[in-house]
Amino acid sequence: MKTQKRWTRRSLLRSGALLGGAALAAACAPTGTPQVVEEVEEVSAVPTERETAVTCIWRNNPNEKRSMEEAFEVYKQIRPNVTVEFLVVPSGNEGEQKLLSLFAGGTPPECFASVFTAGLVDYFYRDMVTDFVPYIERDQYDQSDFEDVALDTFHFGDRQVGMARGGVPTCLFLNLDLFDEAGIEYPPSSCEDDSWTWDKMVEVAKALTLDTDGDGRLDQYGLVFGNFNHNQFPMLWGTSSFLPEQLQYGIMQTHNMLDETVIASFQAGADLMWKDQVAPSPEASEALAALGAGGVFMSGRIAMYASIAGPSLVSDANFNWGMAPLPRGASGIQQRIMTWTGPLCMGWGCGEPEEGWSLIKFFVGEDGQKLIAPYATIGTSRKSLREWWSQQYSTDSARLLEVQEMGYAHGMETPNCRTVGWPEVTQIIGSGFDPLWLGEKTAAECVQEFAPALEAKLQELYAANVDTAKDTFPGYTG
Amino acid sequence: MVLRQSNTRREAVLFYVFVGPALLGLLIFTLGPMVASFYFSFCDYEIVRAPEWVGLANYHKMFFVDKLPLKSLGVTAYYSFVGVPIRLVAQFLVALLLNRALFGRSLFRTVLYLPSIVSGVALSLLWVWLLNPEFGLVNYLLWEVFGIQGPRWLSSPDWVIPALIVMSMWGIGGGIVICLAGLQGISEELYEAAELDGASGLQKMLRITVPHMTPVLFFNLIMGIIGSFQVFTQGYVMTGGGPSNASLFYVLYLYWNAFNYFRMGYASALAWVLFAIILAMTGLIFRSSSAWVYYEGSVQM
Repeated sequence: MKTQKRWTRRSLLRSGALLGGAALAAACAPTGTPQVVEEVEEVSAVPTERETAVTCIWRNNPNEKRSMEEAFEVYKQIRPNVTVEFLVVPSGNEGEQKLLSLFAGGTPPECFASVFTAGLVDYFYRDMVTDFVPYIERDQYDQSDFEDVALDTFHFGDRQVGMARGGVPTCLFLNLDLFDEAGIEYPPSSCEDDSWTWDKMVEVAKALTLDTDGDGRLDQYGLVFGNFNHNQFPMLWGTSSFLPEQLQYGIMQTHNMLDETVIASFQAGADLMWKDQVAPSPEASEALAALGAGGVFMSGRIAMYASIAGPSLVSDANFNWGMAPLPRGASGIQQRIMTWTGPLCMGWGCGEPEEGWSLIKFFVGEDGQKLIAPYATIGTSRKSLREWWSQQYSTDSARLLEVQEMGYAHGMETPNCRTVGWPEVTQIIGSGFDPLWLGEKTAAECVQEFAPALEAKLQELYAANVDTAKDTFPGYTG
Repeated sequence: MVLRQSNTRREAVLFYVFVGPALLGLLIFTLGPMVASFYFSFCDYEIVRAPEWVGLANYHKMFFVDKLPLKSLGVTAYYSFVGVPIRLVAQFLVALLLNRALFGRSLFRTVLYLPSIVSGVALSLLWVWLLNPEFGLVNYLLWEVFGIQGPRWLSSPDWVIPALIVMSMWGIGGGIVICLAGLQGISEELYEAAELDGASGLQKMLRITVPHMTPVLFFNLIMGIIGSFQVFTQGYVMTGGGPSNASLFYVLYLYWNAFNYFRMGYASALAWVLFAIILAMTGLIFRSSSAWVYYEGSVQM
């Protein structure tokens, strides 16, 4: 007689243990990504005609998303056999999470816009990004039209891990209506004008800071000046929060925060709110930002607004706007302007590298940039498109072009792309400077307090990455 | 006899068929990742590379090198140990009110429960506005009604946690519903007998209502402590952990390590320490329950 197998408590537990073990094994298994990239990928194939799908992650705003979808439609006509899975993320945190999940799942994306929380160098040091040099050489792809600062930012040693999709220098947005109402002359449009100094900017801002309804409270401010990447103020003073080696190799054992000029520059930034009283407090800025979709400047109550974003930020403004260069910290200082550069990267080990390369070439090409750049916060990376791009907005295009040209001429890469462990570094600096922006401590007091923690973190990151740096950068000895 | 055996076997098979999907889900999507994260907590694991065994290094770093885990634990404990008792008392008192024969009682119940079903992110953004020191409604009312200059709330290291506790009061709707159910389960006969004996309202509250409600309060306390030690959204959306890490909740710091700092191994260690803390606290509360939780029919020694 055939005995029927019965489920006993023991057999059930055994099965459960097996399943649990299988789940554990699956979870603990190495991911599909390579551990160490010994050599760059073999590049010989060309896009195939079979049906393929590529993944593209992009952080953007609704306007840019629409333009991206149009761009995909155009791309579909060029590569009808390719389906692009477009993953839109609203912020850097979500982008990072999505990106890491794809890598953990062994399905790195063929294309991603590396403007998430971590910087490009973090991806590079973890072998997450494909070196484009073999593709560029094979296709003899001409990069001479790209902004130099973008190419500098995306190169690590002899490898290039990002293709330039956009770039925009920091500058001042002007509410021209507020200038006209106050009868104040616009700031100069040339960076070379030595008279446009910090003090002059504060003087203009004071004249534009008003209590317009006479209720005893300010309701129009002369200036809002963001603290971009903890280096904007020092750069205007001709120095830097970080040592040059930090931005070159991504690691360094110390920093330059204790430098007197660096401290003075941060103090000047805070003085705009608490001493000069030409800028709203952080809380007032937050409230003003909620008045107009697109940030504090869109409230129409800010005369000058320093921003790291391009003109698409203000293209829907219901007032006349223009642009001006950032001032110099003091007369005679050699100014450097932070330029935000946006790379497109390809995940190392992605399933369809040739299609990824093809898609990226489309986006960084003239046709692709023309479709997206006017709506992107990051503008265009192509010199040949600057003039066309400057004509896409409802403002004086000649002035816009001049300010942008000057910005590129004096441009320097943002530190986030070039600093290993940027989220950790910026967390220490950001929380350390909180009392400064809240008007509770001086810049010197803040720096004295957080400098040891920052140095310890930089040393930790240095120790973890120095070997990779030595392998990457010829001649680097640590 | 044979038929009965066959039915029993069939029922057993059906039982396993029906619980199977849930059991498999638990094993694969809960137990599997839990065991994996325990393993990762002993590894240097950056997500994009295979984990590398480092022993107790992550735990050592957490307790002896990195200052932020203890800082964030302190912030979370402050939020929990102050906020949970306040919410418990508020839930109980509001439930008492809603249990009375009030005009529009159903409306009040609905209104008080509504915030509980609103998305935490939407609620957080709303409260950012309400707590804005210069333009927010809270400080406006403090000034107009009481003549008090309100604090900077979310911008102040001293006030940010009290502000978030005040905000959390909006989420007491779920606890109110549970308390209401508990109140309605207390027999009317007990109150009638007490009235015949001449008990005052306060005596009825202290001698009948509160003892009978202790199992409900016990449940709400356990769930409140577990929930508040896992608080995340407010720190993520409203304050970013600031100012000066004053609202750096433990889970927010864990999240940063996992997804912003490429330190999934370290984040796993943080998660297991949090699990141990919550387990220990739950155990303590359970042990203490014999002293203050009253179950009808149980023998009090």
